[in-house]
Amino acid sequence: MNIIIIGAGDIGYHLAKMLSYEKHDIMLIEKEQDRYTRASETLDARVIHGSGTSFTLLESAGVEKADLVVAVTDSDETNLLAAIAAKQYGVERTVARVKNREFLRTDAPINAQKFNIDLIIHPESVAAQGAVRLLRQGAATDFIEFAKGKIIVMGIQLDRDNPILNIPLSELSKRYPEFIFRVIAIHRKDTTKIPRGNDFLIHNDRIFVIVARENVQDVVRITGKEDVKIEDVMILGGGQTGYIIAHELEKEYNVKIIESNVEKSYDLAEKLKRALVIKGDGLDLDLLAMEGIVDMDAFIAVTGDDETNIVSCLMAKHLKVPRIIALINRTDYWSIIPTIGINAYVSKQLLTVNSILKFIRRGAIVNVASIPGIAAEVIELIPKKASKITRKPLREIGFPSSAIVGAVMRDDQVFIPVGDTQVKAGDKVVLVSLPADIHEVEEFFN
Amino acid sequence: MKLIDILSDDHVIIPLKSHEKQEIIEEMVDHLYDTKKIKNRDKILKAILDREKVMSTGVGDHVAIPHGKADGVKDIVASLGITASDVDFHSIDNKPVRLIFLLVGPPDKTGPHLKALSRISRLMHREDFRAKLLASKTAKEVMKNIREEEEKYFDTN
Repeated sequence: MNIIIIGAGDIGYHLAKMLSYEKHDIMLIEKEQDRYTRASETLDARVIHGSGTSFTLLESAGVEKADLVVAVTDSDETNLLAAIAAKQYGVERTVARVKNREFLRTDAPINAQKFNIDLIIHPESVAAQGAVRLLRQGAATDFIEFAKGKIIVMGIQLDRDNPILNIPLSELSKRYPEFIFRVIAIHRKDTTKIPRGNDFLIHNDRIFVIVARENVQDVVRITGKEDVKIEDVMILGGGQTGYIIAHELEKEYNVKIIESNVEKSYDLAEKLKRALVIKGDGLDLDLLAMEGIVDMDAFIAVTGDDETNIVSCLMAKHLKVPRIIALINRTDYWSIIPTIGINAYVSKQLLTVNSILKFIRRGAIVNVASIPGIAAEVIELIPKKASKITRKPLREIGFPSSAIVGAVMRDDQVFIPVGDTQVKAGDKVVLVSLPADIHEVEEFFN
Repeated sequence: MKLIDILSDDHVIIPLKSHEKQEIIEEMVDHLYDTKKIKNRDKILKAILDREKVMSTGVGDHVAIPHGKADGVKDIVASLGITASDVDFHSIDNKPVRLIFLLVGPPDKTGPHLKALSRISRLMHREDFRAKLLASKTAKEVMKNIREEEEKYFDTN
């Protein structure tokens, strides 16, 4: 596919990186010198220095032959204009990122439908939804839905006392035959491993488990995690992400939201119905104490500043708040976050990239998610008729060794495939693979 | 930390004479000074008022917790003032204030200070308990109610 990405900020850069693992022709356009240099020096993509709203530049980037244009600069106007222009050049699909939520409204004078933009994405909403999902799913560090929500991939940080440690995975599944689950990736220190039956889990592993939705709680239980009942939630940061989270959560929980900016806090107080808005500094421990942080069931830090989010979450953790979630925007931080004691975090960039990837994929792939901090992707595919994977049992097809089929949904029934299983066309197959082998994996399904 | 460890009946003022935020804080600080709990009245008062400037300590539900740290205070000490009528404290929920916990401490005792704030915040979370305090006629009655409440919910710590 010929893809033009406009804007090499964190989203554009990461998207280009993910796509470059596959066989796409990627052209990246970036106006700012620093970002241009970073992209051209480190990415396997062609990078042009210039503005995405220049028609001359778009033409020289080959817009007329492009299949997809993704505009993800920091400027809404640039992104919308680039997407609109791309359609005029005959580009089949376009994606524009916006910061202003009003563009999402169906009655907005400029919106996706009216200007024929295929996807308008609002990263702050995406991040807020990610945080809410994590909160609802108590013990998980990650929670990703596949097969229309019937198959879940969840990340869990393993604590010291844990009944499932130090036994081979093949034994583990025998011990709990009634649950439909499988460990599909282990992140240990800095490496990600796709486990085999003789691998076992150790303390401090971050594991990814594929599980049928109805067994999510069982997995939480056997990993020794307690599910915290949520009643009181404190949110730090009343920007767009914080507002959307508060708006969503105030319907069922007692929500306090702390914002340091006076105007923003008044604005929040006006827009939120039940949530209590507090004007103050989230790193002010006295304030947190007065507002009863010790009685909170969850603390969610979503200010624009990663360091504030990290430090305030660590303070909340120190004060024994059972559930903490941090918004981390800097991609450099992803790998260290779990090691410093923050188990659950959301990344605006990564969730946005995942949403865009999901939109881009075609053919057999119906959903894809890359997992922050670890080098593996989870993919949902539907095998085509007579595709390689449907011809023989899994054991005999010669699947790449860095990939593992995690779960299959057939006629609404979820099951964990074994070597004898033969996948049928039309099944929903969720698998995990290291990025380098995704293309090879995909071949089996087409 | 228990509230009854840092609050005694001679530091419960019912009702407060003052009817305005700053005057109330001054009245309560003066009371601590008169009973020799603090040495440097002006410094403490300034610390508390500075804190109020950053943000009101009116935490909602008719409760305020003005607090400050300064030299001349040996240990953390709390006082409780109950107003005769509603007082505007610029609280976060815009409700008037009736129950005012004033907390002062030395600059180096951050941990206990936090624990005390947390404890007050937690106790005041219960509506029936706030009502009980408001209905109390004497300092002794207030202390009895606080003691009972702390025993009821926190006898383990």
